[in-house]
Amino acid sequence: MFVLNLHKIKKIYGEGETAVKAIDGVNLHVNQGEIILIMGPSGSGKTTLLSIAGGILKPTEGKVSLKGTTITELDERDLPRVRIENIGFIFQSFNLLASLTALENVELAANLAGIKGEEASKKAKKILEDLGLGQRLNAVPANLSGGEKQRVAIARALVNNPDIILADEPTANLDSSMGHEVMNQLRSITKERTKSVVIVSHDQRIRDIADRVLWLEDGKFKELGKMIADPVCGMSIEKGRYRVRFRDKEYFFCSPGCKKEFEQKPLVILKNQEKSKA
Amino acid sequence: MVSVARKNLFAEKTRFIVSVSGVAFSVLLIIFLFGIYNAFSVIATAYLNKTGAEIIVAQEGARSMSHTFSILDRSKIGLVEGISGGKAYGLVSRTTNAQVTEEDGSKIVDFPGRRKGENVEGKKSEISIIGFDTKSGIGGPWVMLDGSGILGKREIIVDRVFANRNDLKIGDQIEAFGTVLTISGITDKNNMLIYSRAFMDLNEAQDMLSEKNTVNFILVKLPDSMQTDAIVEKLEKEIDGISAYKMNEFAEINGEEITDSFLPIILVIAIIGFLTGSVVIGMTIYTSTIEKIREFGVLKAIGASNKTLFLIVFEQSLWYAMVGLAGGIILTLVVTKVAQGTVPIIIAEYNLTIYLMAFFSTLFMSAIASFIPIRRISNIDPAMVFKA
Repeated sequence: MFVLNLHKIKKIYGEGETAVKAIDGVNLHVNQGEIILIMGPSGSGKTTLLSIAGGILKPTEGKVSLKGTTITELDERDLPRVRIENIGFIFQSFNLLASLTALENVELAANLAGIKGEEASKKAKKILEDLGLGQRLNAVPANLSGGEKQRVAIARALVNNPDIILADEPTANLDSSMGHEVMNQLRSITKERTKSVVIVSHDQRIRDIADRVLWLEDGKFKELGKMIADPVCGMSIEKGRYRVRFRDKEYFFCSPGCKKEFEQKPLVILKNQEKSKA
Repeated sequence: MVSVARKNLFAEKTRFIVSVSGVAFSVLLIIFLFGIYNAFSVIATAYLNKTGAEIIVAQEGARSMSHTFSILDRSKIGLVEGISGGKAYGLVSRTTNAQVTEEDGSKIVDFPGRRKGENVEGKKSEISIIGFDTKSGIGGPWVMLDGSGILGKREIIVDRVFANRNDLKIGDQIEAFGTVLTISGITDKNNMLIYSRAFMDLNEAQDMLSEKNTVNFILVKLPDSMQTDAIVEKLEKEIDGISAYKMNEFAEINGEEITDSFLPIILVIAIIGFLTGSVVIGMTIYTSTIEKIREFGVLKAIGASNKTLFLIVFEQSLWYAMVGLAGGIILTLVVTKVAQGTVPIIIAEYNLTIYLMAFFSTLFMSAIASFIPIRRISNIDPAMVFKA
């Protein structure tokens, strides 16, 4: 059985002429212990898909099943319990409660799942220690670094032993090395506990932590094999309208910005591309 | 459970102090006003209820000690005594403007018994002199703050407020009805807002007023208080020109003069205090909820129910209210002490009922205040947390 199963998901915002199709018939099956990275350009529907997978947003059409329970058929009042017990969330801007310490932020999530007192505190402490934050238990978010904040958020997502972790742009507010370090930590701790993870991100640097990488564009998954890399930003893209012919070869870009940048210094960019490949 | 409400409150100390102060001042207003009301309610009826007599006899039709005039022939004392089977005592009650100082503020006498001069421009203060039977003490002062309470020739016991307002102490002298009287005692709970009761020996008062053969009221002490109703009826039936009352009923009628005029005003101001408190807590809770709307969204996204979020808001509100209540009570006691020291006419008495009323009012305020942001919380879209 899949941990998470998204079947023919459609999400349309607005009505009539102003209707926007954010997700267009997406299917997704997540296996136990699998880490999936969903990439795609801005506005491709990644976050919408994640919200639907987490029972935060209702799809216009389609079904979401979590460990066999179709959560899209549940009453609105039952969804908070499903979220706190079965799903762990990690957000781009950490979203820790400012007045609570690291320990309390994690403990609160346990409390919301019905775990009280000493037991909640012990669980929170253990998981923070596992993530290397044993010395920072009583620090409030304002006194934590970005990497530490995201590790507290990971601890909060894991404290209730959920079936799946959903992470939205988890490295967006971290520098390159810290982003990679935190994601590796996420991989090792979830693999250790055979937890499934779905990450949505722009960040090419975290491709290596995923078991499977999917490309979402215009509300649909696209085959990554047919994608090419933008020579400027490295993003996987389809051959499209932003193109430049240089020395008898055609180059494709994700946006007019990347195209312009390439036109200004093509040799430097191609040299850098060669270097990074090496 | 980790108390998000408490953590949020104490993380923002300035906001907490300002909000709690707002509640504390509202509580002060409520308790202080009801304390004043309570004190005057007690005073309005206490003297009559504490006279020690069960029945009061007045001239026919007279229903009040201060607003209607009653005069009875002294011979009626014996008559009342005979019919009632109890002990009857005469009581004189007369209000006047007593001269308390000379024009320059100095005392009106050089040394005991000798008047400095006739200076009508000096300070005068309204006083209601009660002449009572000093042997039995029936109708006399029921609280003594200073002095023995024993009254000699040309001696008078005045109320604390009267003494403080006029800077008088035991041994000082005032002039009333052309007679210089020496203060021999200070009583309490006899200030009636516009005038103050003072006590003299009945015979001395009659002598001073040159009304030896009349009294204003007759107080009756019965051997068996169970017979009061029947004796009141009997007295009215058998003695012409009198009205007899059970003492507690007469006290209530007299008390209404104060409570009926005072209560509505106090009540309106207390309601304003209550509304002010509610608005203060409401504003505080609303703004702090709005400021933390993203955090509420996070909690909602990770799985907190609306009920949990409401409870956080209610707990926050309750903290403001209860800390404000404690602060308000302390503030009230301090303000009362200071106010009574500087404005002697202010009297306030607090009892459990008033504190309980303040407690429930504050609780109610916090409940109302926490309802204000509920709509906002219900409508939080948890998907907002995905926005950077």
